[in-house]
Amino acid sequence: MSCTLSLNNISCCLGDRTLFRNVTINLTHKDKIAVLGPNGAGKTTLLKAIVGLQTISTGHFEIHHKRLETEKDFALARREVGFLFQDPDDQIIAPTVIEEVAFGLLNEGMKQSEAVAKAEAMLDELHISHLRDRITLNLSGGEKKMVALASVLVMKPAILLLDEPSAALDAKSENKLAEILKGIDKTMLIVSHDLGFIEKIGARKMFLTENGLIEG
Amino acid sequence: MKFSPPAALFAAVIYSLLIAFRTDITVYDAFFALFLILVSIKEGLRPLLRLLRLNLIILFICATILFFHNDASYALLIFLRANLILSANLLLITPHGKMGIYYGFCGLRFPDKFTVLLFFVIKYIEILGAEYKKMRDSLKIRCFNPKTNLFTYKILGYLVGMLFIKSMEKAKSLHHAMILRGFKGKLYPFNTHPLAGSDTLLAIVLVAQTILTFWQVI
Repeated sequence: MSCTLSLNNISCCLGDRTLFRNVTINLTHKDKIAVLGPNGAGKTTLLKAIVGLQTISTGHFEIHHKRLETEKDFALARREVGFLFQDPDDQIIAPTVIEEVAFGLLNEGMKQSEAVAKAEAMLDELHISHLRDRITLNLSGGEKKMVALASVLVMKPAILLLDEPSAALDAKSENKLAEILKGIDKTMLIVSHDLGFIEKIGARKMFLTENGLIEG
Repeated sequence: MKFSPPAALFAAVIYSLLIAFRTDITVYDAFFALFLILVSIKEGLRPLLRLLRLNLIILFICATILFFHNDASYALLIFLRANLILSANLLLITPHGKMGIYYGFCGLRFPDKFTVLLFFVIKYIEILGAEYKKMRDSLKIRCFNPKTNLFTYKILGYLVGMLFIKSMEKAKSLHHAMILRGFKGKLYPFNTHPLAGSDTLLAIVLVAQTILTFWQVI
């Protein structure tokens, strides 16, 4: 099976503190991997590094066998990657739900009617059509998370990077999100503390330590 | 009766300008504001209560003029002008909520740079307001009792400092989100409200008010 995402000997330091070193992992198509670890282990930093938002000390990333080195490489790679932020408020950048979900498509130059139709279909798929015209600022935490996920999925990314997807969700919303993520056949790298949630998705567990990723 | 955000914003700005430059207020100047009160009767007492709250500041300014400059007519002029402008703005803009202003400017074809900045200002005032409330509640839970002593000022300093740091962190996260989503300086708003029949009525009354104002000046 061909490799979708490769992390090769990645090391990252913040100041004089080494967060992690020699992180190596290959994710093939439809692989779901959960990265677990204590607070401050660098889990979110690792996700940010994959999309070029964090500089690394050593190593390199590959997406579809293409080595990412320059900002231009990362900019192109970001089209293949969907990133779900821990705090959906940081991710949502449009006033209403439908505009938020259609934003990425319109930004790519798609016609408005087509973008709206695709955004509506995505809202339907995630069972959140009733939120269509709601102001994003007035949504609850769980609703914001679902809207953020819809705006990521509508772009049809090959790889999903999810940063604490179940954080601040109630049991019902968490189950709903787990069910949705379980049903998505994409390469996924999930950062979470929630073992129960990871098991519901059926992801392979790996622990991030200072000396790399260890199979859990 | 509800007007579309661009029409409401435009009418509010024009009426505010007409009234702001008046040197004496007559009953004719209140024509537009009275029309708005009549068509907003369904809103009940809510706008009036808001106006009363805002009047605390206006009354303070008027009192300052009255006591320090001894000019009762100028204080009255400011009071009437401010109340007419505020009532028109309250009745026209507040029914659309926070995002109404953003959609209003988008509808009026303001540049993307301005509308995008305006949207993020509205969004982050709300988010940072919530952060401030969280921190204030945390102090309350921990039995913080503000007094006029150094400890209180130090804690309030921490609060302002933390809010500043949180703002910086939010700005960084937003920047990251923009990079990840390929943001090109546009938000593509399409959920705007089209012009309605009520906007025509608003335009007629606004034109009538403009004629009345200029007729008084001449």
